[in-house]
Amino acid sequence: MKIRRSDREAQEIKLDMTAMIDVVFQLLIFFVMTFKTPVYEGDFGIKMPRASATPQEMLETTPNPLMIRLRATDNGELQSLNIVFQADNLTYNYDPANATGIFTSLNEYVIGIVGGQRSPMGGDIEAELEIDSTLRYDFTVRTIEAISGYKEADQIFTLIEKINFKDTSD
Amino acid sequence: MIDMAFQLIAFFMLLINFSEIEKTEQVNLPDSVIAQPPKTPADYTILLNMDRDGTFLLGAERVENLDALGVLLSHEISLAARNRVDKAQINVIVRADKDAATGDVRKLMKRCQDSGLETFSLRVKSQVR
Repeated sequence: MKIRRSDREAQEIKLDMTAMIDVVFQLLIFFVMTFKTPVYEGDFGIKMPRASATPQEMLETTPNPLMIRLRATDNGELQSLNIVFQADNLTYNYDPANATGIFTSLNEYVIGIVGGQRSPMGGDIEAELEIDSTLRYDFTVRTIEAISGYKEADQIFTLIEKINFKDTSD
Repeated sequence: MIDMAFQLIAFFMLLINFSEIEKTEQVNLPDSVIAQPPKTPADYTILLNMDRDGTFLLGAERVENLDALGVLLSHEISLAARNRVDKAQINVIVRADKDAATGDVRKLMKRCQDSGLETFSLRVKSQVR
């Protein structure tokens, strides 16, 4: 027997998608508005001795550290950078017109002592930073970057891994 | 069209990074070309954020002063000990604003040292120059 559907029944099975489409677009707008492009972050590892370690103990573990002193101006900008290593005692003044120059000089110096013949210790050199407390943190990181390594042809070369902050009583 | 909308929703949902929650927007990190993300994740990490005014947060929680930080660090260290992680192995990630005073960052790290923590990671924005 043939069952015939009426025109009225055929109309009733039509789904109303409007509400779902509205929700979908609301969700889409939410995700588009909250979307943030990912920012890649990296680390500079620093191994700091325990607070109980005396300066004498620290000296015993670091026989010949590369001393770097950063002096700040009153408004926290870098004033000068002083390098003390073995017989060397070099001071560079910061020039805002050539902001990277001072760090390039530091980087070249470190490449010279780590990669050259001047240091029998090679990669065992430890750097000790003595930094004015008012100095902007950006300069501190750029100094750490200059002594940590350099990038050449998309390859990163490591220079000094042991970096320490000199305990200053500020 | 609705299929395309679903595809877009799926795309954005997959891109949501829940680990970003603890990274405060107030911190403008210094940038570096040589800093790389750690190759192996640390057993236990403590995330410290510091904004340009020297206000600091442990994870997403604002900390009033260094004494309060000491209490929270003790709690974190005991949590790590329960997971059999020694405090010397705890990695303290310092996310400090590039305009913050180095002295403030140093005080933060000193307080961590006083609690027996000694492994620090200074976090920066990886940038291609």
